[in-house]
Amino acid sequence: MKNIQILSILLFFLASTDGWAEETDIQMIQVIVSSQSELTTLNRKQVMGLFLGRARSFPNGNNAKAFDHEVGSSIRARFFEGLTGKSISDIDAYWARLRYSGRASPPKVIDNMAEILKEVSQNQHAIAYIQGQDPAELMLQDIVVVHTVDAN
Amino acid sequence: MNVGILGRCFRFVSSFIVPIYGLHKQGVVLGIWLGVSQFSVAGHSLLDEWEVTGFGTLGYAETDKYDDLVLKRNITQRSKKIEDHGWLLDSKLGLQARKELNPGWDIVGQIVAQEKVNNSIENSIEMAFLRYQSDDMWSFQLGRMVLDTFLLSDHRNVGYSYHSVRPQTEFYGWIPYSNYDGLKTIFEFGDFDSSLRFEAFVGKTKSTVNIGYLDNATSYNYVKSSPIYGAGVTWEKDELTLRAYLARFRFIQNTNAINQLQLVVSDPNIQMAWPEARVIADDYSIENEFVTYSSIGFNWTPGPWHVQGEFSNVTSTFFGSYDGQRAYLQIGRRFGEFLPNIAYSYSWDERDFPYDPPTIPVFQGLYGGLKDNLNSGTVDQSSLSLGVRWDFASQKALKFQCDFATIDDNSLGIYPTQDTVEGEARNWEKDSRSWCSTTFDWVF
Repeated sequence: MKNIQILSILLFFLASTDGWAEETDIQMIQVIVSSQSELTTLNRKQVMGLFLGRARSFPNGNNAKAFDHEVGSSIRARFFEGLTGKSISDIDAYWARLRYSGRASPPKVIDNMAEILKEVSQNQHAIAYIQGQDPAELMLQDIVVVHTVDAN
Repeated sequence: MNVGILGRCFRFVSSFIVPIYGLHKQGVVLGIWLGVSQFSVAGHSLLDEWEVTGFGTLGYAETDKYDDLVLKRNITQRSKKIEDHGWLLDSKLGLQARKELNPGWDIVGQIVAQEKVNNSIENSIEMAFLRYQSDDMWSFQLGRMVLDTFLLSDHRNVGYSYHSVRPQTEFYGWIPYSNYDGLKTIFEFGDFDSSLRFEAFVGKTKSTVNIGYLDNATSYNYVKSSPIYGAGVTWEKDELTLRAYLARFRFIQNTNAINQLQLVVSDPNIQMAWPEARVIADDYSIENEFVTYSSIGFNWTPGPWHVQGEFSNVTSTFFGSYDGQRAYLQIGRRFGEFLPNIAYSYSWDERDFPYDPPTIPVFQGLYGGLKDNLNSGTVDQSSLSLGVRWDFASQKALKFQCDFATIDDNSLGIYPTQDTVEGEARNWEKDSRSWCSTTFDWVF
């Protein structure tokens, strides 16, 4: 009986741990590129440079084209806040500054997950971000996770 | 917002490009037109995939709080109109259209409705340019572009993009020009750690300003500069931006006020009895004279903090111009949706009127009038601003701000006094004033 109790407690903790891990994975936002881009990883500064319009090319020299989620969406706020440590309002003000001075336009918006995956899998210049996908399954679609953002 | 119907967008852009300048006269417009036409001929429809966006500010300020001084945002606004309509001070609506013509080529147009002396459609177009990005480093722009001599110059109409209700008046309020027609070249390089951007421009510009309080013909002054040219460098690393800029403007004609002044002193009786009057009036002349603007600025945003400052020096080759040094420092800290901020700005201009009064008493009034003209170009004042920005929804912000300004003797270069009588001295003595303002800023 005592063994059963210990086993139950262990199972409870294992289940709890699994649940926590899943929750954590869901909270992580993955930065993805096409496997044809020949990229395997990007660091935080590189991702920031590409999504804030400061860089137009990947570190390997190939042209880069970033895609964004809809303004006002939860994932966009959590991605930029997790990536930059700034409020999404500051990011929006930053883009207003660039856009309306004629310097640059923010990344093109695709608000459909399937479309994002399709664009990234078919376009070696594309870079985007998604939430909570299995990297192995993404690999099957020729998509590579190059960075993760903790969007707690 | 992407709109697939170009009819509307094309009419929007072409309506200001073609008629405004006149294709026969403006090589700049012709260049843009030919460039765009090439893409059209190549089979890329001009009607598809325009990116149409906009920005707006709805504001109210206590512009009529005092009966001896009017709060103004800048000298292109009509003093009496602003005094009577406090909601006009900061309110504006902007519409922007951009289209990528081909990889490396795009066209941008922007029109802004706001309170101005000259509110024609042509004068409301802030941008209409063709850009060619030849590679990661070089880009070239041709057409009408916003002047970016100072940190906020190129987006000062977009209230959502900065924290205060308006750019610091001491630093930005006296600038007559907001855009120019010409050519700009940009060279930038760097890595993911830092970047360096060089830019140079040449072109011409014009504006109509209302310096002073009155609204008659000699109070609305048309100013025109050609050539204007300048260069700047911007260095960005992480959360720090440093910027330096140098620009030079040549004025090509006198204003109404100067012409009127010269007409008065051309009177043979005056010339005979007090020849120096003509010398003084001529010294005010801006025709073929130069103004040089130099500035350094920084923006630093460590964590939730926002710190920004600028210093500029203005020098001119003629007597009546704006002159002196300006500076400001703004500090803000974000607490969730709220960003309280404080700013202090200063403008130094302590020029004296260097001419002795006439010995003949009858000319004392004229002497006073001539002397008073210098006050219209004097900005010798400071402001302490306390404000808060509330980002209550996505791409929408409410701001509230109070300004405590000290205006030194005869400093009437931006804020006009109602105690103004044509041809007489205004005799403003150092005093302090406070105003509060609120705005709703958004982008769409």
